[in-house]
Amino acid sequence: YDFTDCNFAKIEEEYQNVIFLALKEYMNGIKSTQFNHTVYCGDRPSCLTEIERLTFKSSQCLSLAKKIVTATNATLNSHCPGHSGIQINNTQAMKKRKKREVTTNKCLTQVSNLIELWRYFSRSQ
Amino acid sequence: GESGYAQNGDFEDAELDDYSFSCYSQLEVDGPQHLLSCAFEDPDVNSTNLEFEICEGLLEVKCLNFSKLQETYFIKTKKFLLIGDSTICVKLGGKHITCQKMNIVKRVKPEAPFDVKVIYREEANEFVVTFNTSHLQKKYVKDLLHEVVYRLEKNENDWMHVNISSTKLTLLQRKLQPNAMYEIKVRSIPNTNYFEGFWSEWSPSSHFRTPENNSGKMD
Repeated sequence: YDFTDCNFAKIEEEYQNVIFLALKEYMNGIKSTQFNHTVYCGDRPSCLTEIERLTFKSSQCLSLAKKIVTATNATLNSHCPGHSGIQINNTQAMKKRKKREVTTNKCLTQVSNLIELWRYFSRSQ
Repeated sequence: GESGYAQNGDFEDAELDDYSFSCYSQLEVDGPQHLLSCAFEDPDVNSTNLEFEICEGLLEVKCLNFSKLQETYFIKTKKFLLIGDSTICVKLGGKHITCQKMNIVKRVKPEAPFDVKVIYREEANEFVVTFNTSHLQKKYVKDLLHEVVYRLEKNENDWMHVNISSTKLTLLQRKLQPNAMYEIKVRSIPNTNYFEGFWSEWSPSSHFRTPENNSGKMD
């Protein structure tokens, strides 16, 4: 999916007011700078491509917080024309997640990388 | 049509009545829990068997049902996604009568400010007004605009208005009448591009007396 035509201002607003707080809440006081980041993106469309990949398609962390996944999915679906994102199957996925919802180190690394990507997105006007 | 619905339980009449409603949200009103309250515009609506339901814009669930307290329907939950629209419907016997699409973050009604204090600083010939708001500790709706109003107690509707975004205000003594009793109160409204909404309720009023021309006395 090509993120060029997204409404970046709206996504920025939802990132600042909701998504960032969900990411920060997940880190639970652990500084994302404690992790060496292996991500980079140079402009807003490529940042969203990386954010989508790391949020929905990475197998590194199997139980990424529901709020992060649902919020990111909602903002991309709302403001990127034709983006259908992932179907969040509430009941089934929720049961599976509940069993494995443990904040593993892999998940912390992944979320801190996500924070980095969103920062690149926010900085690149 | 007359409010209420058909005797024999079919819904034709029900659908003709005016079931328009309005809602407001209060975020993090109880720890991380948010509150969404809705009520019918027409107070005469017979709401006995009417239910409210919200779908979309939710975490982990597709829809939630409202609880009811007298004529207000409400939901207290952490499951608001706070991104995108939700659809709120009035239901009668499980059937949707009317629905509205609305975005919870655009319908925020802050909690009322409190603890309004007025301190006279004789050395500066001024009154320092301070007040408190629970929103300072919140994650989401932190930025508010506060409207401070004050009046001479004997002048019923002659309120002076000041809008500020901090919780402290200075009133110059020379701008007030000497040896007079004043009433002062505050209300708040969201002050960001993202969270928008309505004025809060007014804070409880505070009262202060201005000194005669030279010495100060608090009541």
